[in-house]
Amino acid sequence: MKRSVAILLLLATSLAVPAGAQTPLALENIGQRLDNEDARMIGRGGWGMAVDDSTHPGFKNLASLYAVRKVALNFSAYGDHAVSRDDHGERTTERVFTPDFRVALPVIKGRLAVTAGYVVDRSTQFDTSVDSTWQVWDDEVKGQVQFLRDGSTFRVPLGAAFSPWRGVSLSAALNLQRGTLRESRYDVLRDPASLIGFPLYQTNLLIQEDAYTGTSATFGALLAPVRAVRWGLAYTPAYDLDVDRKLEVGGVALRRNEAFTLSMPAEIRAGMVVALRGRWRLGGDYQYQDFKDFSGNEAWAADMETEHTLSLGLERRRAYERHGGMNNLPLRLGVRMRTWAYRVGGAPVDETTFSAGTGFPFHGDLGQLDVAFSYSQVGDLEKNGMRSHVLRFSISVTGLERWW
Amino acid sequence: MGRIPDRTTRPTARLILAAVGLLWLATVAGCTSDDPSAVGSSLGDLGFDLVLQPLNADQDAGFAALSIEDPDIPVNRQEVLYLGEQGGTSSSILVNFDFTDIFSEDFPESLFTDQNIKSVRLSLTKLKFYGTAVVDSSDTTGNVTSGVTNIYYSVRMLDAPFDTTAFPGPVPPDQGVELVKGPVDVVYGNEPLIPLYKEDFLAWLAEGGTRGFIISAAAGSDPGLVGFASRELDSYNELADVAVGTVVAPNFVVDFDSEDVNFLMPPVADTSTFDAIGPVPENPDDRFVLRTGLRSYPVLRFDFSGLPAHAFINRAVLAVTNDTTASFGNFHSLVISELPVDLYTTPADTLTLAELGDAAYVVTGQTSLDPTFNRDIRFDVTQAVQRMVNQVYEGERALVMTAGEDFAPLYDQGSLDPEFYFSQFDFLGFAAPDSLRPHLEITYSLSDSLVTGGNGGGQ
Repeated sequence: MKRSVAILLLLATSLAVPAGAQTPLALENIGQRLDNEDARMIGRGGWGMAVDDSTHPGFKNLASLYAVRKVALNFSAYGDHAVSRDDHGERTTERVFTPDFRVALPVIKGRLAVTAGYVVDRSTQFDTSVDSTWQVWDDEVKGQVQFLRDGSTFRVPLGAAFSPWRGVSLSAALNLQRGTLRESRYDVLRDPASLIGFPLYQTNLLIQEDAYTGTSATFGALLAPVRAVRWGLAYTPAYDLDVDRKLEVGGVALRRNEAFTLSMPAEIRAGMVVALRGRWRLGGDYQYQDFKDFSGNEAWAADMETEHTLSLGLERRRAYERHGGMNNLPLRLGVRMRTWAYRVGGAPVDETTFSAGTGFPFHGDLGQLDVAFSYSQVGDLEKNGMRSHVLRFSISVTGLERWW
Repeated sequence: MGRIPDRTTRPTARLILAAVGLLWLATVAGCTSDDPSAVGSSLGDLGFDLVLQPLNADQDAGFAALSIEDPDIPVNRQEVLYLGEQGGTSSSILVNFDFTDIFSEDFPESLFTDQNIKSVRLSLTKLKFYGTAVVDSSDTTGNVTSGVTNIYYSVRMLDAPFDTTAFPGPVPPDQGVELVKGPVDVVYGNEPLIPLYKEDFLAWLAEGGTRGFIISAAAGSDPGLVGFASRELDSYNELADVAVGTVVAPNFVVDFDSEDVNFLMPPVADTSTFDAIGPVPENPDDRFVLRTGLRSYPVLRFDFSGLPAHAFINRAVLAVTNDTTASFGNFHSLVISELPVDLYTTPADTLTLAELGDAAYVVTGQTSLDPTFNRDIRFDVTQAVQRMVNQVYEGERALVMTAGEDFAPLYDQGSLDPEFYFSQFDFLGFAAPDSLRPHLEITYSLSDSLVTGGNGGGQ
C-alpha cells in the first residue's frame, strides 16, 4: 500500500501541470464548470451523491465518507483532446488537468470521518491569435492580436461526516475558496523590423489579474431509507468571493488595483441510487445553481444563466468470481447534460457528455484504479457561434492505508 | 463491508491499462495543440482603447548647448594640432624649441656650420584623414573637388615662448618676419617639410635658449581645419605610414653634407591656439551644433503635453537633420543619453566630462556617421520617452547628444576619444520646415481601463 501511495503522490506531482487549452467557450465570464469527480463517477455520467463504500469512498457528497475504515487518498486527472470550431475555422487543443485530490481519515470507523482536499471547480484556459494590421505614420504595421485567458477557481474543503443512526449520515464542510483569473492581451507588432529582425514597434501588453478569496460552507446528507435506494443531498449557501484585481500595461508605471466582491448564488445537489437486479444499479444526480442571482461583475451578470446539470448512468458493480476474468470488472455507462452558468452569443451553452468506464482493484482491496472515456459536445454553432467536441480520458487512483 | 481479496484481474492487464492511460495523458499534455488562431477570437473583451496613435513632438521645451571640458586633457596635451579655419573656428600651431645644448656624440657642434648644413626644414605630420583628398561623389569625373589639399605654410617667431596653459586663446604676438624660405608656396603631402633659412637656425643655435614659433596657414590656403600630430600623439594608426625614426611632432630637420642621417629636433611644447572658436547657438531656432575636439553637446527637451498620461510608447524616434554643407570633420558616433536638467544652471553651462558621464544614462546611438554625408539621422529613444512619461525620475530629464564617449562603450568604437578630431555636426533648428526640424515621432497606445478603471469589475 505504501508503494501505491507513493505512486499516487508521484502522479499528483508530475501531472499537476495544466497545459494546453480547453473550449473557447470558456474565454469569457466565470469559466467552465469542471468535471471534478473521480473517474468512477465520470464513467457512469457523473453521479455520486448517493454512494457509500468503505473500500471505495466517493467525495462528491462528503456525507458518504462516514463509512471509511482506513485512511483514503484519492487523486484524479484527465487528458482532453478538444476540437473547436467557429466562423474562423477549427482548432485542435489538448491539455492535462488535475482537478481533484482528496483525503479522508476515519475517526470512529464506520461512523465518523474527517476530510480535506483540493478541488478545482471552474477553469478557463484558451488563447487566440488574430493577424492584424495597423496604420501609423507611413508604416503599415503587421502583427497579431493575441489574447490569453487562464485561471481557475478552487476550494479546499475541510469537513466531517457523521452517521448518527444507521441509514443516515450528515456532513458539514468549510470550503476555503481561492482562485485566479489572468487575461492577457498582446498586440505583437512584428513588421516593420530592423535588419536583424528586431521589431521597430514595441509590443503592447495589457494584463488583468484577479485573485479570489472567500469561504463557503457545504452541508450534506446521505439517506438509505430502504436497502435498495439511497438518497444524497448537499447544499452550499450563497457566499461571497472577494476579488483583488490588478490591471497593468507592460512598460507603463501606473498600476490599477481594484477590489470588489462577487456574490455567488447558492448551490443544490441531489442524487439517488437504485439497486437493480444482480450487480446493476441505476443512479442519477442533479445540480442547480441559479447564476441569475450572481452579482459583483456587471459585464458577467448580464449574461448569467441558471446552471444545472443532470447526470444519469448505469453501473455494473465488481464481482469476485474465481476465474471470472474481465467479467469481474465493473462496467459503467452514463450521460450528463449541463447548461452552463452563462450565455455565449446570446444563447445558453449546453454541454452533453457520454461516458463509459471501468476500474481495477489493487491487491488486497487496498484501493482501486479507475478509468473513464468520455465524449462531450459543448455549445452549438448556430446558437453560440462555436462548439467543441471533447474526447477525454480520466484516471483516478484511490488508495487505502491503515494508519491507526 | 468486508471483501474477498480479488485475484481475478491479472496484474499485467492493470499495468497495461495504467501505461496506456499515462501515455494518453502525456500525449495530450498540451504539446500537440494547434497554435493559437482566430478560433474563439469573438470572445474575450480585454483590449486597448487606442492602439498606435501618432504624435509629433517638435516644440522646443528647453534647449542647452553644454561645453564639456576634460581637465585631464587640456588643449596643449591633445594628440592633434589644428591649423586653418573652418566653421568660424581658426587655429594656428605653436611650438617651443629649446636650442640649449642640442649637441650629442652623433651630432657634435662641429657639424652645425653654414658650409656643412645642406638645408633646414620644419617637418609636420598630417593625420591620414586630412591627407586624403575627398572626392565629391556627385562628380562623375572622379576629380578631387573638395578637401584640404593646398596649404601655404607660414612660420614666424613669437616674441617669447608661449605659455602652454593659455589656450584656447588669442595668438601671442610674433616678430612679424616670415621664416619660410621664400617664396612661400604650397607644400603637398602627409609629411610637409617647410623650408627654412639655415642662417636663422644657426643664429638660434648660437644664442641658445627656448624660442617659440607660430605655424599658420597663409592666405591662399584651402579653407578647413587640418590636424597634425603633436608631441602627445599615441594613436599612430591615424597617421599614414611614416619612416622608422620619424618624429611625428613638429620638428626641425637638418640635412648635412657630411652625414647620411638627418638631425631631428623635436619641440619641448606644442599646442593648437584655437584663437577663434565657432559660435555655438544657445537659441536652437536656426540651428544647433554638436562639436568634438572642443566639445559642445546639445541638450534637447520636447514638449510632451500632447501625449496622454500613462500611454505606452510603442516607438519614439528622435529625428534630426544634419546640414551636410556646413558640417565638417571625421566620422563619429552620435549617442543619445538621458540627462537631468538640474545638472546645468544655464543653457550655455560648462561641465566636466566626468560630470557628464556620471549623470548621463545612455539610451541609444549610431556609429560611423559622416558629418558631410549623413543628412537625416534618427535615433530610437523609445525607452527614454517611456521613462519620462512614466516619471520614473525625480526632476526632469532631457536628451543630450554626444559623441562616442567612454561612458557609452557600445558606441565608443576604437581607441580615439572625441577630443582627437575636431568635427562639427550642424543641425537644422526648430524653425526649419516640418520634416527637417528636430522632432520626436512618438507612437503610443493607451488603455482607458488602466487610466479610468471600469473594465468589467464590480465598481
